[in-house]
Amino acid sequence: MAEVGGYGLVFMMVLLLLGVPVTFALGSVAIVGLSIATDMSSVLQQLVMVATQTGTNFVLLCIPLFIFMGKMVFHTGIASNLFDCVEKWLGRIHGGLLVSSIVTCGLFGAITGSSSASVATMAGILRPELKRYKYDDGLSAGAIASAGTLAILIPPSAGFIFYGVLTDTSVGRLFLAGVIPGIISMFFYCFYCWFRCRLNPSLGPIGPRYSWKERILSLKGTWGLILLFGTVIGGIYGGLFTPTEASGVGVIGVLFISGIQKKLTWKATRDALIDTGYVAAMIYGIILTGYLMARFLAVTGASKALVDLVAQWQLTPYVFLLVVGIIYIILGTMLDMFGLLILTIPFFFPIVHYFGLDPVWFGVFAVIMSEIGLLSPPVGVNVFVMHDAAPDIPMASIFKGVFPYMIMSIFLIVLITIFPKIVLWLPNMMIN
Amino acid sequence: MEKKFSVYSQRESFIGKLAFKAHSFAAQVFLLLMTGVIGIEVLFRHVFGGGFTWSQEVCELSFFLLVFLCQANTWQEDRHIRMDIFYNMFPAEIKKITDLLTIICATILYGLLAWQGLSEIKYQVAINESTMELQLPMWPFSLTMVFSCIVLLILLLRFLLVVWTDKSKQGVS
Repeated sequence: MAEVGGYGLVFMMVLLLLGVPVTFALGSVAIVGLSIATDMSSVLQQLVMVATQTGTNFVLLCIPLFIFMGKMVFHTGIASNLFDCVEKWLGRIHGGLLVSSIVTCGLFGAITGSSSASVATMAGILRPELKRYKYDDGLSAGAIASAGTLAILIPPSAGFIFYGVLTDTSVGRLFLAGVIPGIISMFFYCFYCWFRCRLNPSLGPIGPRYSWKERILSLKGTWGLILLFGTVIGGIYGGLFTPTEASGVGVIGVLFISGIQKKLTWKATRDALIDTGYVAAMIYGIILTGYLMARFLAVTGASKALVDLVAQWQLTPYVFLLVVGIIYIILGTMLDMFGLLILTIPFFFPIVHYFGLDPVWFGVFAVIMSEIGLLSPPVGVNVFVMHDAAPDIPMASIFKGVFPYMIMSIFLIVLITIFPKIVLWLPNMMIN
Repeated sequence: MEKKFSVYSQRESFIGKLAFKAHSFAAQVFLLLMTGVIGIEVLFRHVFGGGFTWSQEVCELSFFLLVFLCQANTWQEDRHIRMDIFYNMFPAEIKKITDLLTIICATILYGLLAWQGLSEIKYQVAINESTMELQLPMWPFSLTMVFSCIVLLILLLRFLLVVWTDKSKQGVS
């Protein structure tokens, strides 16, 4: 029976490489495979049952709501005050504008789970400033495109919710697990920009000087986003509401703040709603078919065969993680984060269990690896979003600009593998 | 910004427009409904000391309607994730094969979902199956699922019969 699973996987890979959408390829292979392994009537019943269960999954509905929240921040432009404030505090160091933009992306990531919304918003705000102070194009575009990935590590993160739903892992623990790696990433990125600009000041000059009064007054413009962050994250960990409720409260918060700042328009809201509809339908499709594929692998015994194979090869967990990392880097050149996770987690998760790895830790590992995929050519979603916002910067310069950040992300992976407590300390401390 | 339509877009046809209208309606109604209901639930729970038992159900059903009503338009606008880097490099003939495989795969998934959904509706009507909290009949939700799958299947079939054979009718801009 495992052979049916094997043939199914080969056929699925052929379909994917030909360009058939992930949802359709996974769904059709799983349905045909399950009908060979079991019988058609039970497959049909399972199909509708899984479609209904996934479509009414209360945890899952926070993904579109967090994404809607990020899109509203983008469409209404309420994040511009955040950069003004950070720049007044950090702008006086070498590469100050870049350091400020990375920190702003990190803070922006704390109010949205969407990496591309973060890049689109920040690129729109920062690009004119970086141009005005004659910052190096490649360095600045690379910094913004890479800093956008902080949004999927720093909670709330669409990637963690997706992984949590897929593997039945606590979304609250995953959110907390992403905080320290997210801050470390942000520190690495800032240090790199500062160091490059210190060595060669022409890459990024020191910004204008601001008085303490101006700095303190700049905090006034950020009250809305600070309140939003405090409500969403504070609400989840203060036990006031679940992550799904937090996403709804966050949306209300964005609507309220943009309304007060007179930036709320029906057009902006409508565009954000329709855009979110695409993401919701796409994510639902891949989760539905991902579940079907997981059932197919389980019923045909392919999952067990895979685990047995790993056991037979006597791989160590480190070698397994190295192989997984290489697979993520290869697939990351062709797929975005959701596609990457749905194609890998049903296969890797049983092996993660076999090795006794912590599912929360592996979630962070998988999300950081997917983050590298967001930057790697030729797909590199964030690079394309950056190019849309700054069409005068050649694509090759942006890809060259993001390369050091990809290396830093790989270094972070090595770091969390050697010291898993970087990931697990906070969730273990806060949630027993 | 200039609006770009995908090669699968059939917005000029009735069925393409219907798919877009369904998407637009669902996104504008159900996302705001979910937000509103969650807001009311949180407000009542923390301010007035008690929430509603039906709020989670309303959100779940709204999400169900949202994701299904957006399915057809999401394919039409080529927003489902796929490895399109190789597809973009393929010659026209291979692209046609890929499109044909896409249609076959989608037909297996959504066709069977619609088929089984229809038989579920008969059963749901017969036993008067309803939701747990609000006691809403289940069949309208299953019917929406079937309707959305059928709209997608018609779009796929139309792409195969009309657009696929006549490049000039593709909605490429």
